[in-house]
Order: sequence, then structure tokens, then C-alpha cells
Amino acid sequence: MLTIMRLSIIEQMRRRVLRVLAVLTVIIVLITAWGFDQLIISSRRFMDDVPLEVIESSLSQVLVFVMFMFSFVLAMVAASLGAPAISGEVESGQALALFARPLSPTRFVVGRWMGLAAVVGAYALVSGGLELLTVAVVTGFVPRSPIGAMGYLAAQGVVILTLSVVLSTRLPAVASGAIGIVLFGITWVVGIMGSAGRLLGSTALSDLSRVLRFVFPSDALWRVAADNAAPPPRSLFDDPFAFQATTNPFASGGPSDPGYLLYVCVWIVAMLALAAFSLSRREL
Amino acid sequence: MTGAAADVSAAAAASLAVPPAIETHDLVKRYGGITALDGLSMRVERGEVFGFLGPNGAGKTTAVKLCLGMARPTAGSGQVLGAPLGDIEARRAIGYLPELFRYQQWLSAAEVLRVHCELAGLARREWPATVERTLEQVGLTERAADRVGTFSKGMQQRLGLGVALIGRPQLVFLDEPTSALDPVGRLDVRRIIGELRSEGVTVFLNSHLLTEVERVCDRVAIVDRGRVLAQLRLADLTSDRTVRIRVSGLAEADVPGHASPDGNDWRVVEDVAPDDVPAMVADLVRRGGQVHAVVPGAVSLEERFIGLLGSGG
Repeated sequence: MLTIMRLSIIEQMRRRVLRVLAVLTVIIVLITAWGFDQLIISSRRFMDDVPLEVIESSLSQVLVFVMFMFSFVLAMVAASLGAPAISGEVESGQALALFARPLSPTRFVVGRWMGLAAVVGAYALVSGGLELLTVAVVTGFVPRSPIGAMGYLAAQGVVILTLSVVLSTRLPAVASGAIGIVLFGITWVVGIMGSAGRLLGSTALSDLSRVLRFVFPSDALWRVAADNAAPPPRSLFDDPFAFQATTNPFASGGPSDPGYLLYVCVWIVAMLALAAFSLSRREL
Repeated sequence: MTGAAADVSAAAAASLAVPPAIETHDLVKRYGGITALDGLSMRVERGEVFGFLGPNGAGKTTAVKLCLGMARPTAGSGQVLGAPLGDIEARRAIGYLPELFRYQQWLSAAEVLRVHCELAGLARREWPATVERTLEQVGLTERAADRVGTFSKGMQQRLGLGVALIGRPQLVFLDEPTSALDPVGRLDVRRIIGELRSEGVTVFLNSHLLTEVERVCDRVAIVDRGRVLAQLRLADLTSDRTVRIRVSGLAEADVPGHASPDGNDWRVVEDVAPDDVPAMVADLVRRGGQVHAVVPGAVSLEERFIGLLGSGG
């Protein structure tokens, strides 16, 4: 299992796509750093009229937008890494030599997943950390929980990766990746509709988003990540944007819940068991 | 019982206790409406080089995949190294060069071999020597540090052969091992198979290259449409119970034997005792045939192969 995990990590490290992604990430961070700097320069002109809490809240809103972009990039990365994880090995014939060894489908699937999850998690933590650090240096704004924001963002990426790996045991890479991205989009849209439904009293919409939290926990994790990126609680009491925040599709959907996090872990284990079973029934 | 008799008896009991390398009973494999294997029964003894011959689509690769547990039989059963088909632990003693050989393009040749040392369960201290020896065996020492992605197809097949040799296997499956190799590479494969034989390793050689098989195998099974048409010892083919004759003046059905696969006027008559040849010639002449030539000699594997496929077994 550790052999396959190490192999998966080396595979990604040696491919050009991660290096390109790293360069693009640095460019994104530099652009957003410049943007935040401009926001701070502009806000200083109104410093006497606008309270610090409002500036902080505005900065956090922009930061959540930036984080959502990272979340989307992360979803794309996770889906594109997970989608060929099994099908690519089988279709290319690479799996034939591996499965001639005493290697069970479970060890193969878990090894692949561990390696790719390490890459996705590392990308989320490094890119998210770089962005938050840059924002802190440029604006002085530190979110409620930077570690929580990065951690939940990484968890969201791992969830999308896990689904793509499951699909990859049966479907070609393009189909698995496309389905992973579409599901990410659907749950995000349903999450927005659920937020709107709660405000307008639509139980059908809020129930649908609640059910989807358990079926595919991608959007729910994003919302907790966004919550962790919000300003410290003191500034929200008088926040004129508080109403907007609850309806903002990019904004928070609630604080972290250890019970839900445990459920996500169980979901991942169940998905990996399904992937291993699916691969064990597949003929090479 | 005397001491000598007891030794013989113990040796016989020990040989009985060691199961054959491969044994299958009525293996059937269907993919939807297509029957890839149709009641395959065969036995491959330990230490022999066994050729599995057949035309394209005969079910050769399917048979190997069933033996390795990469596909499940629709019906029938079998054992590999004494374990049921697909047993994961039995794979510790198996090497495999697939027909569709492909290895991690982003690794070097030495790294691919190291990965297989690890997967085969070799102790870490054995890896460097094993990798070095294997690279030497397959002629890739100079390219050890190069990425597989830069290799030609033939070099990748050499690497695949090396992978199959990792882990001191007792049984090696080679599926069309020379398909991408040049004549020198083919010679190397024959040498490696010879080395494996001398070490007592069983080799299951899947091929449709009859001359290759003829040179290295102890025994062959000829398969077509998923069925074994015949199992023969190569030594038997070189017996002198075959004659090649050239006859005119008779209808083809009136001449014994089958047409030579060379496509000329020769016919091959098998299983004829040398003493019976004069009577056979006299009979042909009596029936109006003109006998131009009678050449005693061995039947080639190719002739036997074509003969069996032509008659459908």
C-alpha cells in the first residue's frame, strides 16, 4: 500500500502539470496581493468615516471570493488527479504487471488514494496558506481560523478526489472527471438555494441542501472553510453586511462541527471500500 | 523395506506431494456472447518450458489472465502452484510479462525494477543486487537511469522481461515475449528461458511464433477457439515416423497425409513406421499414382500446427 502511495506521489511530482499549477498559483497570489493592497489604499481615504469592523468584513468577503476561486481550482485538480487514478492504470495496461504481484485491489485503491490525497491536501494547504499569509502581510487581516479555513478547503478537495477515484474504477478518466466537477457544481448551487430557502422559509430547498450535505459533502465543507475565513466574531455583531453574508453564495454556512467531520471520514472510508469492491469485480 | 527402497518411495511421495505448476479443468470463459475459452484442460509440470500456441484470438491471453486471477472463469476450475486460480499469495512466486507491456513512464528502468522488488516482498538489502543482475540479464544496464518514457518499444519489452524475473519466481508467464524485439533481442529471450529452465523455473510461453517455440519448449499445447487441439512433446515431433511424399496422377483425397504448409506439391504423412513406407509407395503406384519423391524425416511444429488447425483437431 505504501509502495503504491509513494509511486502515486512520485508520478505527480514528475509530471509537468503540477509545476505549471504551482507557477499559476504564485501568479494568482501576486495578483490578489496587489488587489488587496489597492483596497487598503482606497479604504484609508475613508478611514475616519468607516469603522474598522466594516473594512474587516469587506476584506473577509473579498477573501472568501478568492478562496472560492481556490476551491474551484482545487476541485479541478482533485477531479483531474482522481479520474485516471484507476482507469488510466487499467486502460494503459500498467495494472497488468502490478496485479501479477501479491497486491490486492484494496491495497491498490487505498495506496493510490493516499498518494493523491497527500498531493491534493498539500496543494490546498500550501496555496491556501500562501494566500492567507499574503493577505495578512498586505492588509493585516487575519481570519477567525486560518488553519481551519485551509484544512476544510483541503478536506473538500479530498472529498472530490475520493468520488473521482470511485468512479475511476468503472468509467474512463474523462467521464469520471466530468462527473466529479459537475457534482461539485450541483452541490454548490443546491447549497446556495438551500441558504436562500432557509431565509425565505422554503423547507423543500433547505431539506434538499441538508440531504446533499450527507450524499456528497463537498459544498458543506466549503461553507465551513468560508466560515473559518470570516473575521473574528466581535466584528460581526455590528456588521452592516451580516444579512448579505447569510445570503451570499460564497459565504459561510455554519461553524465546524466535529460530528459532521467524523461523518465525512466515515463517508470517505465507505467510498474507498466501494472503490475496492468495484475494482475487485473488474476484469483486467 | 530396504533403505534404498524407502528412499525411492520417499522421493516418489515427495514428487506426488508437489502439485503441478498449472492444472486446469474444463475452464470456460465467455465475454457476453463470445466464448474465449471453451473447456480448457491442461497440466504443466514443474520445471518445464511449456509452449501455448494458437492463432490470434485462440484464447491464449485469456488463459493466462485466468491463471493469474485477472479474469474469473465462467465455469471450470484450476490451480497454479497448488493454489486456486487467482490466489493472491501464490503470486509471490509468479513472474509475468504481459502481451500489452507498459511500465511507469516517469520512472527510470532501475526504479521500475525496485518497485517490483518491493511488491514481490524482497528484503530491502536484496534490491540493489537484484536490480543490477536483472538489468544485466535483459541488456539494459547502460539505460538503468533513463526514464522508461524515452525507451523504444523493444527496450520496454526487455524491461518487462526483467520485471517478470524479479522475486525468484517458480513460474513465469511470458505472453508473446518477442513481439517487439529484434533478432538479437529474440536470442536474448531464448537465452533467458534456457537459464530459467536450468534453474528449475517453469515457463509458460504464449506465442504464435512457431519457430521460437520450437527452439525453446519441452512441450506444447496447440489451442484454437478456446480448446486444446493437441498437447505434444517437441521430442516426439523429431521422431522419424513421418514421410514427405510428392505424388501426381491421383486425386488429393486418394493420397494419404495432408498438404505441406509450404504450399508446394509435397504432402506430409505422419505416424508411419519406416518398415511400412515401401508398402505405402507400392499402394500409391498400384492405384495409378506417379511417385516422384519420398523423403523420410521429422514433421515441423509448423506443419503439425497447420495440420491440426486445418482439421479442427
